Order: sequence, then C-alpha cells, then structure tokens
Amino acid sequence: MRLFPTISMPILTGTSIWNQMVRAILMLFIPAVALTGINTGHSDAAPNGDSGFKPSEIHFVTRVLPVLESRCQPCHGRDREKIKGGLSLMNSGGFAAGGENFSDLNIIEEGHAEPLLIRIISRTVPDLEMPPKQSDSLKADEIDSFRIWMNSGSPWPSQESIASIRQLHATGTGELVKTSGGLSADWDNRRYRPDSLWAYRPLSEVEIPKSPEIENPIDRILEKTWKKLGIEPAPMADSRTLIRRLKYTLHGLPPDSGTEEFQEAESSTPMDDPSWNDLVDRLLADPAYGEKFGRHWLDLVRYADSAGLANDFIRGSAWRYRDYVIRSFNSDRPWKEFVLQQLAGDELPGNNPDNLIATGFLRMGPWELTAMEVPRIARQKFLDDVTDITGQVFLSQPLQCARCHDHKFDPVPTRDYYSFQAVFEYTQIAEAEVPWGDQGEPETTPDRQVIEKRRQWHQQTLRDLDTMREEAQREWCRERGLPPMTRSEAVRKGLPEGRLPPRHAGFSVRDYGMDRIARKGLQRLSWEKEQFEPVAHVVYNGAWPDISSYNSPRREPEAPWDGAMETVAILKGGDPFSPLEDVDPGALSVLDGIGTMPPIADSRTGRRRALARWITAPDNALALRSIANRVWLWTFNRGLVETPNHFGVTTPPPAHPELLDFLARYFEESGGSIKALNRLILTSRAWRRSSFAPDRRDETGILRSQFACFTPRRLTAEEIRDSQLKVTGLLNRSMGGPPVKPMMEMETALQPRMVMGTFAEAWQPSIRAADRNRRSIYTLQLRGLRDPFMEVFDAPSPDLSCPIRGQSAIPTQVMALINNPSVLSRAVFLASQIAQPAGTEHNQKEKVVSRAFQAVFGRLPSPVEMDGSLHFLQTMEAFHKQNAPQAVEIPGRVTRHAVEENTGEPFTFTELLPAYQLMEPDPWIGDLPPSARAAAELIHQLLNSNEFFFLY
Amino acid sequence: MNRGYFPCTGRGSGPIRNRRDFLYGLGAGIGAAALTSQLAASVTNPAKAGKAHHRPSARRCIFLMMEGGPSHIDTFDPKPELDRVHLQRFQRGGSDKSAMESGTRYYVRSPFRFGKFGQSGADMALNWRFLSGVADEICFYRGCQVDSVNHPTALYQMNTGNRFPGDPSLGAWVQYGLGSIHDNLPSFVVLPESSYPQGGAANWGNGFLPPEYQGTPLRPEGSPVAYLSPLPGSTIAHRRAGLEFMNSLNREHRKKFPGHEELSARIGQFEQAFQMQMSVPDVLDLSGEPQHVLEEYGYGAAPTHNMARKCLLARKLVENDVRFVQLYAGTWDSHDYIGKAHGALVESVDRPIAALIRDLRRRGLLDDTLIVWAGEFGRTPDNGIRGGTAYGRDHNPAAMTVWMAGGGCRAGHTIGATDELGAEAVEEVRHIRDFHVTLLHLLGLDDNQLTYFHAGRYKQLSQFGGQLIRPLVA
Repeated sequence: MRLFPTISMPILTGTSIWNQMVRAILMLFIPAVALTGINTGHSDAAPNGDSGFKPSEIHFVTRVLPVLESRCQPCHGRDREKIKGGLSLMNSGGFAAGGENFSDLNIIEEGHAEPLLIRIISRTVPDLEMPPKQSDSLKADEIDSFRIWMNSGSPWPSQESIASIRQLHATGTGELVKTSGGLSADWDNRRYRPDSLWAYRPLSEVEIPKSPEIENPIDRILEKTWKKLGIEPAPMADSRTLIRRLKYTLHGLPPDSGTEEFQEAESSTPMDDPSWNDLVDRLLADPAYGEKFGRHWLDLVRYADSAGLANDFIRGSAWRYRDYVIRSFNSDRPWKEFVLQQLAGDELPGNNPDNLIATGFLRMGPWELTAMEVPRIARQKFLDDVTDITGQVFLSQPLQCARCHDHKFDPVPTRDYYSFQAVFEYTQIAEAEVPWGDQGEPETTPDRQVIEKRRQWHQQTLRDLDTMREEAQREWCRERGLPPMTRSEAVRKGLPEGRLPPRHAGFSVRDYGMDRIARKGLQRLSWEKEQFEPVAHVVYNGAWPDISSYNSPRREPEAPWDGAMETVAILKGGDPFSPLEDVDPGALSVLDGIGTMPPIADSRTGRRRALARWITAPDNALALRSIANRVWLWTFNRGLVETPNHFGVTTPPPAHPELLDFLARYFEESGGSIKALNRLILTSRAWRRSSFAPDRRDETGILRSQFACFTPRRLTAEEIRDSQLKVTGLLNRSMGGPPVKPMMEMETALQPRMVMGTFAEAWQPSIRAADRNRRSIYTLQLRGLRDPFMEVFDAPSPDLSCPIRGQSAIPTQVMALINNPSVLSRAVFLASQIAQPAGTEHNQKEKVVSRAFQAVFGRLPSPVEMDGSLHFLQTMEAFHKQNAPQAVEIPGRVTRHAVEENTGEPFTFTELLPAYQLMEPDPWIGDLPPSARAAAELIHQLLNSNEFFFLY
Repeated sequence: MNRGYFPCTGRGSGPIRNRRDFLYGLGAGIGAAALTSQLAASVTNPAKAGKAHHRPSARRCIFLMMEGGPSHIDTFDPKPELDRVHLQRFQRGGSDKSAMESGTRYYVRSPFRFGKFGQSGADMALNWRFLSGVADEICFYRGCQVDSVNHPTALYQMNTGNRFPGDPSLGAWVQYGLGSIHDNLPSFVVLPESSYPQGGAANWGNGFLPPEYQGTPLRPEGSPVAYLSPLPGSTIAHRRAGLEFMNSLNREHRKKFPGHEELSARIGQFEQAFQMQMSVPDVLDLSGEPQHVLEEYGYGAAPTHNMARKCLLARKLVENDVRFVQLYAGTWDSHDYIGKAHGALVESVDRPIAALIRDLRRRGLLDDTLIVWAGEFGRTPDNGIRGGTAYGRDHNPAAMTVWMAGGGCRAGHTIGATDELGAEAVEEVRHIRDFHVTLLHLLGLDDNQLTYFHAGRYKQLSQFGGQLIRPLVA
C-alpha cells in the first residue's frame, strides 16, 4: 500500500539527494503511520475520488497546518502588529513572500541537502532555530510531514478548501477533546494524539489472566507481560533482605532486634506465604506505619511549621494536621473521607475535631499578608495556591499552567482553572479553636519555659527602652525650657507637634535595632505559643474579612459573611485587576467530556464538599489512577507513572497501563483502603523479587521498569536519622504533639536571618534529650531555616510539592555524617552500652566488634571485617590514649553583628540562648575511657557505611 | 545471597532520580553529542557534565547583590528635577497599590551631589569615591523593571526569575548548564551578610534542580560550610584512619553487590570530602594577601572590612575556578534617612568593589569574569508620611539601576533611562527576565535551551522565555 502517491509527482525544488531522502523517509514513515493506527483519511487514489482534493492537500491540512497553527503562526502572522522576522505563515501568499532573512523557504542552498524551511525547523540554521525554544522543538514525524509536503510542491489550499478538507477528514489527525472551552477557537480545535489522553479516559476493564498456580492478580498481570516481552524476572530475594526491605517500606526503620520479625530475618529458611502475609499484616498494624506513610503525604502537601516569605511566622498548630495525617494512615481512613475532610471538613456535619484539623491541607502553602502588600494580590496568591495544589495532589494535574492561558499541552482551558478556583471563592482562613479530641491535651514539655523566657527577654527590652526614652523625652523638654514630660503625656495634654518630644528620643542605632527585635519577637511568639493551645489552622466559608495585614493569629469571625464578597472571574494574564468574565464553580471539564461527573453546586457553602465528591466519584479515573500510582510508588519505590504529580498529555503512558487501571479499580472497590492496596502489592511475588538480575546486566532498564526486579534505593533523610537513633538505642518512639527541636548544626542554628524589618530568633534545641531523639517527622520544620543535615539528604523544600524524593550522592553528605557531633553522640551512647570498661583482652574486643555489627547491621562481622575492625579499634584506642577529648562548645548566648534597617548603620546585640543552657546534654565521648571511645569511633564509621545506607 | 549482576548499570542507575532527571532536562536542551558525553560523565559529579551553548564572553560571574533595593536616584541616576519639587505633597491611590505606592506622598530630593566620571562621562554620586575611578569598566543599565513591590518576592524574582519561592536560582541554573570546573570546591558559592536575607536560603536554592546545584553559603565565622570543619580534637591522621577503615568496610560490602554504581560513587565521595576539608579552608585563607592589596580593598578598616573580606574571597574563589559567586551587601532598604543610610552603605561597599574590579583587571581575569551589581528593585522619588520628616524612599519596581563590568558587557556605556523624576523606566525598558537572558547569554548559555522538565513542562530561568538586551553586550 502506498499512502502517498505524490512521491512520483514532479519535484519542484529537489535535487537527487533530496529526492532520495524523501523516499527513504517515506519508507520509514509509512509503517509508522500504520502502527499508530491513525487513519490518514485517504488512500491510493489520486486525487482523492471522494472529496476531489489531492492527497498532498489533504496531507497539508491534516498534518502540516496543525503544526503551523500551533507552533509557527503565534509569532508569524496571527498578530498582525508583531510579525517576527517579517514572515507571515498565515496563507500561501505569506509563505511565498518569505521574510526579512530570506526570500524563499523552498530554496536549497549550496552545500545543503534540504530546503531552507526544513533546516530551520530542524534547528540547524544558526540564529534561525525554530521554534526558538529548544523544548518546543518539532518532533521528527512533524518535520517529516513538512518534508513530504514540500516534496509534493508545497500546496496550500484556499481557506474554503481547508475548511472542507477538515470536515471530510476530521478524524484523521488525532482526537478533538470537548472541554468548557478555551479562550480561542484554535485551542478548542486542537487535536490530541489519542494515546496521550490515557489519564483522562475511563478505567479499562482489565481482564486478569487465568493462571491457577498464581494467586496474586498483580503477578498474573505482570507475568503475562514478562512472558510477552521475553523477560526473565529476578529470583525471589532472601528473607533477610526482604524483611529489611519491608521494615523500611512500611516503617522507615530497620528491623528491631529481639522481635519476631528480626528472628525471622535471621533464620535461613525462606518464609512461606502464610508467614509472610502474617508479617505484612503485623507491620501494617504497627503505628510506625503512619509515621512512614504520613511522611509521603506531608511531602505532597508541602508540610511545614512556618509560613515562609518575609516573616516566616511559626504556624503553631500545624502539627495537629501532621498528627491527623499519621492517624489517618494508621486507621486506614477510607480515601473518600480523607479527601473530603481535607478539602471540606468545615462543611461536614457533626463535631469531629478531625474535620476541621484536616482542612489544614488548604493552609499548607507559603503565604502571608503584610501591610506592605496589596491584599487583593495576597488573596489571589492564596486562591492560586489552593487551586494548583489541589490539582497536583488529588488529580496529578498541576493547574498553574492554565492560570494565564489555556494549557499549552493538556486539555485544561483557563476557564476550567477559574471554575476550579471558584470552588474556593468563599474559602477564608483562620486559627480556630478546635478541641483536643481523643488524643487529649499534649504533654507540656520544658520547651515551653524557653518560650516564656524569650517573652520575658523581649518585654524587659521594651521596658528598659521605655524608661530610657521617657527620661530622654523629659530631658528634651528641660533643654528647651519646657515642663518635663513624656511624649504620651504631652500628647494627652494636646500640645502641638512642635512641643512634643521625639518619639524615639535618646535612641542609639542599637536601641532602634533592639526595639524592632523585641517588638517583632513578641509578634512572632504570639504565633509560636499556639503550639500548646487547642487551636488549628483551618478554613471557613465567608466573605473576605477586609484586612490589610495578618500579623497575629485570627480566630474565626462571628459574622463570617460581613466583608467584601468576591466574584471569581477569568483573569487576564492571571492579574486580579483584569477580570474578563465571571465563571461558575466547576471542576475539570475534560473528564465530563470523557466520562460523566457529578456537578459542583453554585451555592455559598458546599462547593468544596462537592469538589471532594467529584474527586472521589467512582468514575473519576484521573483521581483514582493518581492515588493508585502513589500507593504503588510508596510501596514499590518506583511509580508505574514516573511523574506522579502530572499525568497530562506530555507524560508517557504508564509502564503498565493495565496494571495501573486494575489497581485503581481494586482501590475503589476495596472502599478506598490504602492498606488493602499495600497488602495486595506486598504479598505479590513481584514485590519479593531480588534486586539482582539472574545472569545479565539489564542494559535497557526493562527489568526495573516492568517490575521484574526490585529497584534499590538510598535511605531517605528521615530514615537515616531515625535509623541511627534506633540502632544505637536512643530512639524515642512516642507519637504526636507539638514539634520538637533536635540539635542543629551549630553555625546554622545560630545563623542570624532577617525577617521583615528585623531578625528571627536562633534555633534552640529541645531541653530533654528524649525529645530531641524523637522521629524526624515530629521535628520543627521551618521554611526559613532548614536543617542542613536533612537538606543534604534530599529532604524536600516545603515550598514545592514533592512526589518522589531525590537520591543524590554528593560529598557534603559524607561531611554531614563524619563531622557531625550528633551522629558521634549516638555512637557514644551505643559504645557505653556495649563496651566493657575493663575489657582489654583480645577476645573482649572481638565481643565489642560483634556487638557493634549486630546492633548496627543486624548481623555478625565476617572474618575480614573482624580483622579490619580490630585493627581500627587498636589505632583509635592509641589515638585516644594520647589525646584528651575536646567538647563541642555549647553557647549560652550569641553576639550578633547586624545592620540597622533605618539608618544603614551596624550595631551589635546579644541574644540569650536559654535552651542551650537548660538542655540535658547529649552523650559525650569525653565521658568514656579510651577503649570505649575507640568503640564509639568504630560505631560512628558503621553508622555511615554503605551497608547502612542502601536498601535492596 | 544471589550473586548476579546488578541490573541497569547504564541509564537509570547512578543517583537514580537525579541523573535521569538531569538527562531528561539537559537532554532536551543540548544535542545528541553532548548527551553522549553526559552519559559518559562521572556518576559522582553530574554537575561536571555541562557545556556552553555558544562561545561565552564570561566564564565566571560575581553577582553583587545589594539586598534591600538601592535607590537609583541617589547612586547612579541623578534627577535634578527633584530639587524643584522637593517636599511637594500629592496623593496617589488605587486598590491595586500597596501602602508604599499610595496615599499622601512627598517628593524627596537626593541628599547626594553628582558628577560625571571616566571618558564615558558616567553619572555617579560623588560619594562613590573609588568606583568613579573605574567608571569606564562599567555598563550602567537604567531600563530594568520587576514585578514585585515587596522584599522577599522581589528578591526571589531577581535571584530566580519567579516571585514565589521554589525555583532554581541564577547560580544554580548556570552551574546546571555549565557544570563545575574545580573538583574540590563548590561551584556556586554565596557570601551572605552576617544575617541571611528575607526569604532565606531559597534565594540561592536549587529549586527543582537536583541539590548539587544549590549555592553553598560560606559563613564569616566558624565552619565556613556546614559540617566542613572536623570534630574538635580530630587530626588528619585520625581522619585518614577513619577513611581507610570506611573504605575497607565499603569495599567488602561492594563485593556482595557487583555493578551497583552508587556504591562506588559513595566510596569516591569519602575521599573527595576528605580533600575538600583541606582545599576549602585554603581558598578562604587571606593571610597570604600582600598588605597593599588588603589596603586597596579596605580590609581591616572599620566601614569597609566586611565587604572587603567578601570581595577578596570572591576574587580568590573565581581565581580557583569557582563558577558563580554571589555576595550580599545590605540592607539598602532606606525608608528613612536616605542620606545617612545610603551614605553609610556606599562608604562600606565603594572601595572594596572598586578594588575588586581593578584587581581582576590586573590579573587578566576581568575580561572573562562578569560582575553584576543589582538590588531587587529601585526606589521611589517620593515617600509616604515618613518622608515628610525623615527623608527616605519606598520600593519601586518600575525603575532601578543595575550595572555590569567585565565579561563581555558594553563597558563605558549607560543604557536606558528613567523619566525626569526617576519614577519609571522610559528607555530600553525591559523586564527582569530579559536581563536574566542577557546574563546567561554572556555566560555562554541560551535561556531557551537551558531548560528542565518539571511539573509538566520545560522550565527556564526567564519563566516563559525572554529577549536578549543587545545594547548591554559589547
């Protein structure tokens, strides 16, 4: 079959090389067309008997023109005022006329094989690479379409002919998608490659292959594919590897020595299916599960305990949302309820505190309103934030791209963006009183004293300044022969401005600085002290409260509908001062085009509830695929779709579409139980396979991408810290409550940082050692001051939603372990437990090494390792006998050099650091004798070794 | 234990996500040849794999960030008309204006006198006593505009192109595009003021790029880099013993996992970290600088010492092939007492910056080192109620002066202009994104090719593409 009989047409501009190339390309191109199954709409007959149009014209309209329209015409002719390079590509006349840089796009210049246009769109002509952005480059088959068109004489039919051809051959070039409508007809008429719309289509009916000997449907689906692809899967992994893998996957911790699973790991017999399934159930039931899976969710929603930006105010009660998330994963809260509470908990009946706490989801982005800002812009920022994050988290569809223009790639018009935003039209924020609930009031820790001391310090500063100021004001009066009085006294007497003593009488540069520090410090404390109050960061429905700044916590107003009523409109270029037309609340119309979705109510309240119902509707395939893929990723360490926050048309289809649809359906049918999906995946044979291929390297990566072997990984930042605490015996497993503050690298902790108008307080650790040794999920997360240890191991910035952790390997990671007093102190603690002070005999040292290996790796050392370790112990003991240990200095105060904002002059002040003075010290190496110090050095190395860091 | 080969030693291995992302991003950005070289590049340091898009005029960049927003009107853009309208009161309003741009306003004249300097006759306030001596090395640009009227968002935009936190900074993009030159030094170094600016470390963050591209702040006191200094009491021999033991442990472990590249990569990093602990302090050691050089920078003298130290370090860092150095000086947020506040700040930075330009010139480094001087916005010719008593200036995103020296900029020219009061740019008016495109261009990078796939699209420093400001290029 020849699709393009025009190949024999007279070649107007060709040379023989060009001619041969086109033939060659056509040979390649024809099977490609056949494969994609696109009906090109015409056959051998030339001209096409049905329509009277030549195949080359049809080819132009169906294959070339769409590219011209979407990629070239925006700069070349659509805007008559601004025609780039003087070249219009709106019609044949413009094409023939050429532009400033050339007169004929058909020309084949000397020394080149192809016409100028082809070279330009192949981006091989210097300074004329088109389209200008490399990331917009035309695809090879698009360039081929141009080649074929030019080879056939570059026909360009009239507008009427184009319209007729379009009508006759409408289905030929991809799929039209019906949406609520773009800002231009061109966008509405845009066609999509059918396979690129996979994420929006209804879930397919997956037929589970029949194979009676395989129980788990995941295995049935995968093994059928492996067979088809000729893949030999990796063998099953051994119990020891599997149990460690399972513990980290579900708990983020190493196996617990002395427990049942640990003994199972030690036993050489492979676990049979029933005992494996039992183990999976036991670990799923352990509350550590919520701490690990909750962390995945917190990464997505950008959890932090502070607001970021200029003030970085502490969000005192953000932790209640964090605990809610952990509770939800542990209780396997049905997905519908989980979504509903987070998007619309305040719209639900009843007085379950979790309903309100959950709406903290909508508060997680960085946001503030300062007096310097335009409230309307800050408000718009909030609306844009919740719109986009809701799309990313629940639909794997970022919406931000559609804020200013119809989405460039995905079927999301700007109208949808603002309809989605209208769901949040009356959503306002507050720090509302929410009772403690079943968990009860959190224990009061000594850290509260530190807050109190800081408050006293600031108040004392202000009192001292007032005393000094009042005296200076009286002095000012005396100098002028006026009756001595303070400014406020003078104001009360109604004296004119000329007789009022200056507001800042007697202030030195330092006084100005201290005044700001104290005032700002008290303002910051008003947020921080809410950690201990029965308060939560929530949303409510109401009018915009018409405030110009948001500098202290706000309770829900008594009359929420007093204030400015907003209307959500399509905003030109995303600018809140350029509304185009009002929109009604709605969700993504593309899903309506593909399935049928429940409508969103146009009432003052209940909009978010309706959105949550829309998201969790059984036929919302996009949302179901999104969460199914996430659970698979969290369990398997690799997603079926590798961009879990974006399933749009530019995303390659899932590695295994059938499997994803099966999981999505299974999840829906199991009542939205994440644990049920966990269980299904974890009990599959696929999950239990080795990280090793049997007999060859997997050059193409297909074993991993088809889940025929496990993908190993480095531990995450939290896992590294928590595991070090765990194996050394220091981990405090208590759950929930206000955030704790571990020791932070000292220079970072004391690094002065500016907040609006002044400086933020230093990082001060929790006073009780046990508080500092809690799991990382409970540590204070400040946007403006991130823990460098966590950061260097890829803990994500809370400014962006993070669906997959990075796994970088950089030398600073090594330094963060070796030069870190906190890591050493963990080793010291374990050394104090396992090293016998009196034990100097050789076999005593062997015992120490064995115990250290047993604790850190859960196994005994090999003979080679034993020899190396004994040698190292000896070297270290010799070193420590000659060198007295030096303590890391713990400061009680810090002197800061700062520049005062008003005057631009430098000043110095001293910040008190009560927590460092009050805190229980960490275990210190100096408290051990040299032999035990050597053991601590050994353990310190083990804690940093590759064996500790990688999971197979 | 299975002793098979470790799967997938080629693509998709290494620091898994990052390297693939790295390829994914750059792969679309540069041609197949470059892609192949990246594939061959060391797993341990993907940052080394970069390549310029065109012949650069600058190999390195020193970005002098005048945090807080210096007033163009009081530094490099004289406005005599303000003398005439000084303290005239007027009203400005609008719900789309912030408190700083609305209400009762007073025009405020500049407390500084101006002169013309160099053969080019560049306008500079007379208190730039040293910088005026190198006026002909400088290209002043008065046409730049930004979007934000508030600090952290404006500073983010100057640093990352985006007003909201989370995007990669200019230095991160440059490092991503060009890679590092020096093995044992970070290639994007930040010298902050003693206090971090508003918005914090996100100003030099890697954003959605892998973490190896983030700026490394060098601190003025204590351990210059987090965790760089060894624990107290540790000696080189002590650390060497630890390193050797670690290597033996890791080598034993690697035998069980043949072909797992990350393991070898991490083994290499223990050695590299060991080296960095020595090489970084070496570069930071200023004790070898001759007295006359220290004096030229104003090192050791009260108002200039802090900036002199940073400028000297910047010179030493670029000499050692650190690609991008950003240093902070501020805060220029002079809402009140503009004469006093800007006066003190100019005095503290003038001499060190001039010395830096001369020093680089003498060493033959200025031609391929681009120096950029900018704040996050300019300042208004008027002030709010406070201006009535303590003459100061508010934030102005519509007008500012930024300047460049060296690195192929059009030295000895002043490009663009603001209106007669300095309220708004009126000539060669360009958005900050175009300035970013121009900086990248001078460094051999094409903003349209320097892209990274994130959240569904290829992202770039200019956000959506910009245009080169041709008149700024020599």
